[in-house]
Amino acid sequence: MMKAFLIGLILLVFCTGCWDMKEINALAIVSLAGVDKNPETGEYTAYYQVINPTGLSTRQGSSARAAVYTYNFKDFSLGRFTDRTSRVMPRKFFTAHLQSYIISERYARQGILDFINFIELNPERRANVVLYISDSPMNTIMNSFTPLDRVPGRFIRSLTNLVKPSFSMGTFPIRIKEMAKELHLHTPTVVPIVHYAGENPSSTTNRLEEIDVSKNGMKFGDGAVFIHARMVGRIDETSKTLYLVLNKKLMKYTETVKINGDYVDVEAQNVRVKRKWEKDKHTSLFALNIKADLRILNNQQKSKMTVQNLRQIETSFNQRLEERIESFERMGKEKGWDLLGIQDNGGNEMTWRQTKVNIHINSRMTAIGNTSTPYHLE
Amino acid sequence: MIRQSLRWEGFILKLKKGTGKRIVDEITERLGQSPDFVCHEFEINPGLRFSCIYISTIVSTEQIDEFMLKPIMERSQDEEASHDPMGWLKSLIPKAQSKEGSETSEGIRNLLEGHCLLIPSVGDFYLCYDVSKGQNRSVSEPTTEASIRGPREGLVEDIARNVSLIRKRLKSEHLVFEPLVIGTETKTKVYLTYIDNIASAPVVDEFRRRLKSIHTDSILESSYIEEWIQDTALSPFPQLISTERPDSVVAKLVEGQIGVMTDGTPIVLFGPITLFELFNSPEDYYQRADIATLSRWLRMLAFMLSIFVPALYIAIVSYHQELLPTSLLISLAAQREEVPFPAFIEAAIMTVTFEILREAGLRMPRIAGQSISIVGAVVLGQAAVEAGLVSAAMVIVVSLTAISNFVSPNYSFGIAQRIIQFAFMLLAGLMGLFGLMCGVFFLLVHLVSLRSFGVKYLTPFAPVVLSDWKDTLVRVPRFMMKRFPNKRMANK
Amino acid sequence: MENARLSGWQFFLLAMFYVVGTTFILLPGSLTNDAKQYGWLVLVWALLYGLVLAGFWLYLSTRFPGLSIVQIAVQALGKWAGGLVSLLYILFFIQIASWVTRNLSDFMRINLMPRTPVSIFNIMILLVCAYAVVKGIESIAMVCELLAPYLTLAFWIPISVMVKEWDWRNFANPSPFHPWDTFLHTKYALAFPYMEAIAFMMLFPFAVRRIKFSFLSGIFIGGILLVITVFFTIGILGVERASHLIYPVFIIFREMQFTNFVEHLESLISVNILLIVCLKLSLLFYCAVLAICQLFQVKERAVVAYPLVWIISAYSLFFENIVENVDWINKYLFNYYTLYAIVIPVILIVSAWLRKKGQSQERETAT
Repeated sequence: MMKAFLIGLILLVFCTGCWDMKEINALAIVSLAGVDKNPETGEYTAYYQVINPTGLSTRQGSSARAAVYTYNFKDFSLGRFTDRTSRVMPRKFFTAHLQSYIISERYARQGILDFINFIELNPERRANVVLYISDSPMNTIMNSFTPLDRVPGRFIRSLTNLVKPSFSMGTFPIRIKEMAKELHLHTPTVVPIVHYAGENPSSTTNRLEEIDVSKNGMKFGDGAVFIHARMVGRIDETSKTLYLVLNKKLMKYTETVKINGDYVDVEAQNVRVKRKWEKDKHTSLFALNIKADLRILNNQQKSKMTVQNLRQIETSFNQRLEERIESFERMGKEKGWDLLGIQDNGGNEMTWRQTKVNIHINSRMTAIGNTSTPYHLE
Repeated sequence: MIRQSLRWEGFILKLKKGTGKRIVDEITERLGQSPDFVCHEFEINPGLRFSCIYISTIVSTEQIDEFMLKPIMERSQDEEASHDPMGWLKSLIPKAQSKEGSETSEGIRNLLEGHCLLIPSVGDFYLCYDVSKGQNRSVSEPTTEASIRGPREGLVEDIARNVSLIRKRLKSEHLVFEPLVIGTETKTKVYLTYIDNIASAPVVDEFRRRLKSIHTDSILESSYIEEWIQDTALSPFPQLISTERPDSVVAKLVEGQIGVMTDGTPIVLFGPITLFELFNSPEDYYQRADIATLSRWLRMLAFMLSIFVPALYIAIVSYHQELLPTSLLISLAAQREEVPFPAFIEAAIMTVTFEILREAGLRMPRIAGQSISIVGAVVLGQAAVEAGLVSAAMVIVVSLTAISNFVSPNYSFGIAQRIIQFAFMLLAGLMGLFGLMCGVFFLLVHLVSLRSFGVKYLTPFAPVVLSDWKDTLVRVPRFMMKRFPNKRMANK
Repeated sequence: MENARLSGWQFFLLAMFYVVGTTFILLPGSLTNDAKQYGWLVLVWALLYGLVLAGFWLYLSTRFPGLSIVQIAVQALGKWAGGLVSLLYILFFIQIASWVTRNLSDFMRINLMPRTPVSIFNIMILLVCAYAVVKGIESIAMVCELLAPYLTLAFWIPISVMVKEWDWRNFANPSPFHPWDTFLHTKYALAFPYMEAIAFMMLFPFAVRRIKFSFLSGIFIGGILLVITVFFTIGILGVERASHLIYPVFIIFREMQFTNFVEHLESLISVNILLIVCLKLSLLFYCAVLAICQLFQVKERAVVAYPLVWIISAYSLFFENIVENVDWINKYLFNYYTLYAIVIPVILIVSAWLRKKGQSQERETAT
């Protein structure tokens, strides 16, 4: 009796099941999302690139060729987009495989705290997704196919993966979670900017038939400077790299130095930065100790490669880097951005601009190319 | 019983006149309807008649003529025949296979076992002589437990033959065969066998007690006994292991396990066992230790695959798609684009179909095997995918599961795996990974609470008996395993 | 009463999993919220407190060898008062069991299956646990033994993969440390894993030998694991994120990425990890059932266990959502648990003393 009762109950539990069931072929797999906010009306525009599996599959008879379709929605609140999608998409909105978020520059300048909060709250969104700022119109960025990988989301992911190994611990440090983590820091967070080269979006797959891919396409370059989740300005590619290196995020840095009038390209690998305070007689100094292993990428000198010569290269690399850091620091102080992280490393909030920065660079040449002496004509 | 039948046990007979006829009559009354019942009567000298009774289908008549009737006829003129017919008979007939008796019921049993009864008309006794015809197949290679290296002999249906096969390999004086007769109608001979200085005495007692408490009319196969004596009936897991190889019988006996041999079947049951023994094959001990260990791991992996793969596939495809790498997700989604069923239904259809195929393969005549495999492979595999009824991934999943299932060295354990596999599929289809987790927890609780003759089923892992680990997950080389595991004793 | 025997190792594992239990999913979030980067320090002193408390219970149980707390209460306080106290404990165990159930189902609902009703999770997990309860404490302990290596791997591999996101800056947060204030705000960390361990007073009679060592070391190792978990949470996620998230450990699993292929494994890992919660739940459930069986002289555990499934699953709906739950924990939990973990045991010890004194006086007067 007892057993029959129990079995009945267990079967009842079984009868109910399947609330969260979603068939894999009934999913709208979003691979890239973009958000824009109109500063005047405060209206958000969300762009979702949904993967079309049959467009990607190699099986015969797949009719549609477009790999992704872009949907866009307008609403006044971020939380309502998922609901909005159900009126246009015949499939269930599925964001677990989202590869990247792209945020328009005008939205970033208004502050994206609301966006970060939305992502962190929502169990279906993840915060370890890379973030980019677009300075081109969102419409163009989101409606373009990309060469070599037809899905723009995967395209971005692959690009990120390629640069990942040179970052410290192999993690790409520009994700939503970094924004959340560094929300309260005074050090800015620098997010890469994606730029669309060309006038019109390449919105049909015909673009993939063309050989010249540089005509229309995405380009990743400069950095957008965020302080407290609000974009306050932009810096160029070199400054972005310096920022990443000096904040221990990036371990690689490439520089061209001039020795006796000839160019030598040097790559610094495994750059290690130590920040500490040095006590002077009167003031305290913020010291940056940088160590790097150098590798020659290109050597146009006419002399034989000697120990002195290598020393020369090292010294001039050190000098060049020091100059760069100094100008970088000046630029930061002028604009009021604590790019070196002085305040977060024990600096004073009021006087960090006056803090003197000492730079010690110590580099070693560890790898040269295949030639000991470049070919040259007498 | 073997000992009894092999040894002459003389006893004093009370002579009574004219009662021999009574026995003959009683036997004829009970067995006389059968056409193979033969009762010859012949007179040797006046007043002394003999009845020779046998069942012609199960005896060899040549032996009767040669060893019984011929000597009697030749010496029929002896004086002795009249005053001491029994003594005279005994002196004529070869002793090794004969015995005497006076009970009718005993006589009938002997007759049914293939003896020939000689009943003099005087005296209340008879002499029976074992002339049973060996209607047995010869010793051949075991079919269900094939091995690459190791002996090729398998047990046969005749229990005496099996005993000889075992004794040939195990010449220990401690080897015991305890005879029992089970089944009110079949009267099947069952031997409880063990080595008395290795097997744990309380477990032997428990075996004996359970065997004696069997009340049934028939025992045709050892599985009848298994169902009677296992600890828990409500479990898919076998609590006794079966084998048809004499070498593994000996190996198990030496390990301290206790066997139950049944007449009429080559399968010998052994207990107590633990779950990990179901992963062992006798070959593990004939191969090098490293290979044996690796193949044991492979079998455990196959076990895991066969119970988890379909369930995980269902759970992932219909609940937790984020677990898949993006490219795999896309290709699965593309494959399932045209599939009309939910993943769970799809999996259920495919696995049930496979079970039907397997069952058909077992039951049908060998010659039809070819056509079944064509139907199975082409129609169900390829055509179903091409028609868009099932996805290719599902076919892969089901075949992987099926092949993993066949890896199990023990057939009844394979059946247990299938039952669990279906239960897990159901749970995964209902609640995704959460349901699967509940199922796993349930399974673990069930497994640890199982006992095989008082031995915990998951020893030596739960409870941990470190000294017994050398022959479970790994098989350590022989020189490190001088002593056999003592788990069977540790738990009592 | 069940004729079970628990070895020292089994008892150790039970205690360890019990302490880690639900704590490791719930505590890191609220602790980092209240104590910032010093959250792990809070757990260190909570652990010391827990050890002292455990020693105190062990002392109580040595005064009454071979008796569970329900039997102790009946013996020390008499049939009626003792029965009342036992009833309180039964309610207490049922209550904790239902909170654990609720934590588990909340976890599932918030993170993995947002559309499934909470009660379905409750009933399913309770039915499974009830089966374990019916099979007895030995079975639960053996499942612990089996799962221990696996769960350890399933928990620490993702965390060690995530160590690559470790950042020492997370500990250099410029927030002042006020030990006393922090202590007052985080009193629940004393109560939450450690005072709940009073449930082990039901299990002491089963332990064969080395009970003190295995119980104390179980609590100690469990506590150390908690400390390390919180420490890693802070180091990996940062104070900022850890204090804002409800389940930081889940987020660690979620963001685990190992090469480009192994990622998004959160549902698999966390469902595995929930087995720990299952173990804790079945242990509590067992204690409740055992207490009922002992108090009312019931022979069959199944008669008690299966109906109790419905009571616990109904009671677990007491809180509407996790915020109410956490709020209650922060405000009242410590005081509430004090009654069961300290006040009643003290009463029992005192009454034992009095009784003994009375007896010896009687004996003196008699002689």
